Amino acid sequence: MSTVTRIQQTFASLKHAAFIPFFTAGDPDLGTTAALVREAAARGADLIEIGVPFSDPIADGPVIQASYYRALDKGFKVEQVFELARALRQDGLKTPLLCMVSDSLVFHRGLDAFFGAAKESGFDGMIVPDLPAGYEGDAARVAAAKGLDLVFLCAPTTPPERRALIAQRSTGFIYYISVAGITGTRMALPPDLEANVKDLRGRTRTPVCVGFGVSTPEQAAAVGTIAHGVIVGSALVKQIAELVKAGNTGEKLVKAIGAQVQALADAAHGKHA
Amino acid sequence: MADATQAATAAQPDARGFFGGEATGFGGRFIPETLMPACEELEREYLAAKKDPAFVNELEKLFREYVGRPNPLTFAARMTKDLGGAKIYLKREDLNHTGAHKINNTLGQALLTRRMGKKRVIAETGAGQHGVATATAAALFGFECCVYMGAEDVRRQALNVFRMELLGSKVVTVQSGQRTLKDACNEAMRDWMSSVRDTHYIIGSVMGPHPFPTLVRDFQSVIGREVREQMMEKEHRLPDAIVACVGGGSNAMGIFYPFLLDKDVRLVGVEPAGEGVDTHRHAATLARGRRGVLHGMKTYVLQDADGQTAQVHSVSAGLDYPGVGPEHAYLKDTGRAEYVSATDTEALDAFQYLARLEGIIPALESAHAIAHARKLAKELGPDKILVINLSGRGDKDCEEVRRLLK
Repeated sequence: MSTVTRIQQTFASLKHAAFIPFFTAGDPDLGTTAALVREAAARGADLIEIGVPFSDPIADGPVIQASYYRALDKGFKVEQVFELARALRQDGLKTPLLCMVSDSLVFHRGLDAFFGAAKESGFDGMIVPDLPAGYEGDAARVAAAKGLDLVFLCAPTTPPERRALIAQRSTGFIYYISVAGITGTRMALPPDLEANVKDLRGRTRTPVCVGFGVSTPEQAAAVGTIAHGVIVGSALVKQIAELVKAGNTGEKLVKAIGAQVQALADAAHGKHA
Repeated sequence: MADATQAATAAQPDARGFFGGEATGFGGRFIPETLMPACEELEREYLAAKKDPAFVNELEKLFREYVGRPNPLTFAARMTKDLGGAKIYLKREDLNHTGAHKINNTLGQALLTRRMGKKRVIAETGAGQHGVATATAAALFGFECCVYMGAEDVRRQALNVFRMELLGSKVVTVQSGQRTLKDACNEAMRDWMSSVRDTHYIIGSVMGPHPFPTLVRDFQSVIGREVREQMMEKEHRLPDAIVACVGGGSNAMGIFYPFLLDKDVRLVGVEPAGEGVDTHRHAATLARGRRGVLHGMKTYVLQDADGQTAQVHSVSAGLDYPGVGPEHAYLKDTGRAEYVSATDTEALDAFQYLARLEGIIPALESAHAIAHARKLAKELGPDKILVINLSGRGDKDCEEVRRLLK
């Protein structure tokens, strides 16, 4: 596809690192997820990732897995992630949306049907963490045909020849995993992060964003100086769970998370508090 | 004689780990990027090890002097007489050190772990047999070991938890999901994601990302090779049918594989039907599953209408799994192997039947194979020979069976 996607446009127009929060669809409920996405967009999120709950998420850490189980226990159905995106677009949301989903769910529905529904409902890109470069089959072709970006992940353990492959295949951006581990909040950023991001940036003009283990504004600020984007998932999902547990739902929850998103976004954008 | 299809069947998988081709086949490597280099390294190391006489000799020596191989192929005289059909032989994996076939694989993978210079191993376990076999190999090689086990299985298999701890392993009780084998797999994968640089994940069945289904099959195929030799010695011919239980399917793959080219040998896998394959409480993946992706492989999976992994059930903790090894999926589709099922009740009957008739208490997993063999022996008739893979002994199940029979 020669057309420029909304994700590509966003990176092209940004003067600073992008801030990309992650929310689990249906945690604590779909209405709140929609409100959280709108609030995040209003508070400085440049792109937003929405996770599709799955029963056996091997690429995600305990925090995200727990959020998936909470959503599934409430009866989440895959179709609802498309309804969510559709409603957000009808509301006028312009922020690029990425759908993070296990290949198990994509394969079940069928690649063409899943990507088609994602595009039609308003998603701009797909992240399929258990579909590594080299085993993506028709996914890259189908995504391109639908006008979706297909974001591949790159890990600290990834050797140079695979980095080259990922740099070549990934569109929209490259999702660099900051730690060799599952998603979750970490205290400090790993020492090899900067060198690895630099290496990737040397291989492609596709933006490189860093996630997995970024949780605080300090970390977001640090990552913002070396990468094109900062992704925060577990820290937000954990905070949502704690707020819900303490009885803070609805508007109260949305505002609290909004403040957290703003702090992280400001840090990623290089605005010092 | 083997025809072209047969030869193709035995030559699986392809270089990328697909049984029956990438477009429509099973297997592959559907895992997070973090684990890709580890699987590639394992594949390289395994291919080199296979051709290294030192590796092969060391494994054979361990089989002989540590596991006690070859184990016997026992003629089940009273069972044969009672059923009045085919002559029945039992392949005695229950007599291996640690009491099941699992040790064949864990020793092979322990040797690979040492070759890769890793010092820590992790494993998932259902019934605890693979956990015990991994803990045993870890003790033998001086590795640190951590075994993940679902909370429900920890309850059902308390004795095996103690055995693992006695062997110096840490046992982590998994409280997420259904709290059984699949959830233990999720947790082990998650551990591996953050420990991959110094840790090898000893997957316990012919499942997971390439090359695990292949290398586990190869390590387990010592079972089938011995059966072949022992059969020729005792009967001067190959058996007419081989029956084995299938959860993930490693004991079945191990005994089937050396016979894939002998198309006159019927290969029969027995899945756990739980309370019946038409109820919602079973784990008969090949009977009722559909193509899907689970734990890094494309295979048959039991899923709900939305694509979420289905709740499964079996009286046997080792068969309580919603997926199946990709090579079994392939053998089902090509028709080279046939897959049937046995219910909890049939397995419990067979458990007691073998104890009374042959003085052998089988594992509840293996009891599924016994249950089907009771039907098949009659069907085959007296001039035929049937081999049952007695994949493990039943000591670990006695508490649970006693509870169920009360």
